[in-house]
Amino acid sequence: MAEQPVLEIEHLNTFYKVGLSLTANKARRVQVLKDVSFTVNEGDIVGLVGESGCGKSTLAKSILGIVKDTEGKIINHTKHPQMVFQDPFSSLNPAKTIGWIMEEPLRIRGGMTPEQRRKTVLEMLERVELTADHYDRRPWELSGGQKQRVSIGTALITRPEFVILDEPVSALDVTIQAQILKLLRELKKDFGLSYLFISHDLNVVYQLCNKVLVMKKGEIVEQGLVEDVYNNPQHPYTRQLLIAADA
Amino acid sequence: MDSKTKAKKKFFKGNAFLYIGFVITAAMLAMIIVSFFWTPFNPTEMDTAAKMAGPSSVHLLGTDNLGRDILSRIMKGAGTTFLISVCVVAIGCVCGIIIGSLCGYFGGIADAILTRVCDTITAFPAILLALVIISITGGGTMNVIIVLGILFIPSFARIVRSEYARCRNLNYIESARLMGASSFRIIFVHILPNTMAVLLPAITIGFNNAVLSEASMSFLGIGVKPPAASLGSMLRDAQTYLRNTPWYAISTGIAIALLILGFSLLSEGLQQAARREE
Repeated sequence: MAEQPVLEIEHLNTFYKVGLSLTANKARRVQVLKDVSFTVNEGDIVGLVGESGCGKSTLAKSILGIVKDTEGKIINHTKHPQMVFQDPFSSLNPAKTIGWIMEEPLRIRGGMTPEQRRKTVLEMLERVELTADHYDRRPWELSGGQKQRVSIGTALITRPEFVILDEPVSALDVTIQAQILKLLRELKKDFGLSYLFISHDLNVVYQLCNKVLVMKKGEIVEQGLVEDVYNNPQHPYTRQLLIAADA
Repeated sequence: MDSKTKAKKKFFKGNAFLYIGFVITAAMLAMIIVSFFWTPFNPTEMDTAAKMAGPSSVHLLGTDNLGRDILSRIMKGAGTTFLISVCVVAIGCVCGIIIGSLCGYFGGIADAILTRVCDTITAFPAILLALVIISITGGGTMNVIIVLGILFIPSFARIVRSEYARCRNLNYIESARLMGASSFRIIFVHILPNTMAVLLPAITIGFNNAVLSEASMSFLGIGVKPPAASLGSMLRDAQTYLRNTPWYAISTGIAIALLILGFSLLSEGLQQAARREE
């Protein structure tokens, strides 16, 4: 089976401006990502690991165009990649109902009647193991795990082929984590998805992913199949992370 | 329906501010609405036979120096004051939302400049500034509304701006952007409902300030022009005859106080209700 790439990153450099203000017109430009290159193929679940603040989320934001100050090539082979955010508490608009939130991507895309949208959302609620009851609920009435299910459902409602998951289970306790990971695996199979899965938890990455990228201070120090990297780490930083995770 | 009335009861329960504020405001509003169709006497008709008459069964609150029925004038005057205040708050609120949302959402140099302009305007006492401008442009109901409306913009713009600056980078706005929502849609559909918690109290407080500002300006003789009555201009008339017709000043003052008190309590009650919901 020939592997179709869904995302190709070549020599990506990303910068942040710090200290931008009216008085200091000479803003400092800090390089956050250094020469990042990798490919996500169709059906891959690529794990991106590294400690907090190493640039994992910045990489996600660069891919999606939220961060604009980038150099290098980002080739997206799919339309409208979506993202599921880490913090389920700020990822759902508190002023809206779950139904409204999940319908919004369809409303923006257009071409569906309100009944069709409602039907699509109710199906998706079922798909992410929630019920039709949740349609009229407000975000604050849901638990963390339920919110994350809503986020996942909202990201998938327009049927993207590639989804970035930014620490989707980090804020959840372990039993809920396992449920969400199982759901993600099922959804991947059913919808033919590819994921870029960002996490600082190497055990979770091992459970879910087939490939892994190890990032340190904005650089990818090691990448490869999960089995290879975990059994035979080449870079000292990877070894360090693995030891820390086992302990 | 049953659950709705239950929810209402829960909304009011233990929230005396909200309840009393609601009752006072409803009573004042009812009086104002009635005044548009009916007043006990024609508020501008002079009854020379009954000048400065004390409260009686015919004239409940007595008559003024020209023999006009005070109750009728208060009803009409409260209506005028109310309408002016509503227009002022509407201008301030709508323009404030537009300016504040654009500044807060987009940021940048335009934001920095507009914020400084707003700060500069708020640095002057609003009434003083209004007095200066009105004495240049001339009085009259329309001018009062426009000038006060403009002076009320910064207070709203500031509140709205800070809410937008807070929401701008939240995940749910970020994901709305990823879905391809336009800035216009994000500003008015996604973020605006989230500013209501701070906007509603601001509107009630703004309304109170507008009532006071209008009353002060009419009291100083640069607001509503006679023979039309507003609570402020009536208070000025009453002042001259304070000794002969104290009931005129007292009843007018009470009307102003009730109008403001009702809205203050309503605002306080709404904030309490919002806090409780969280």
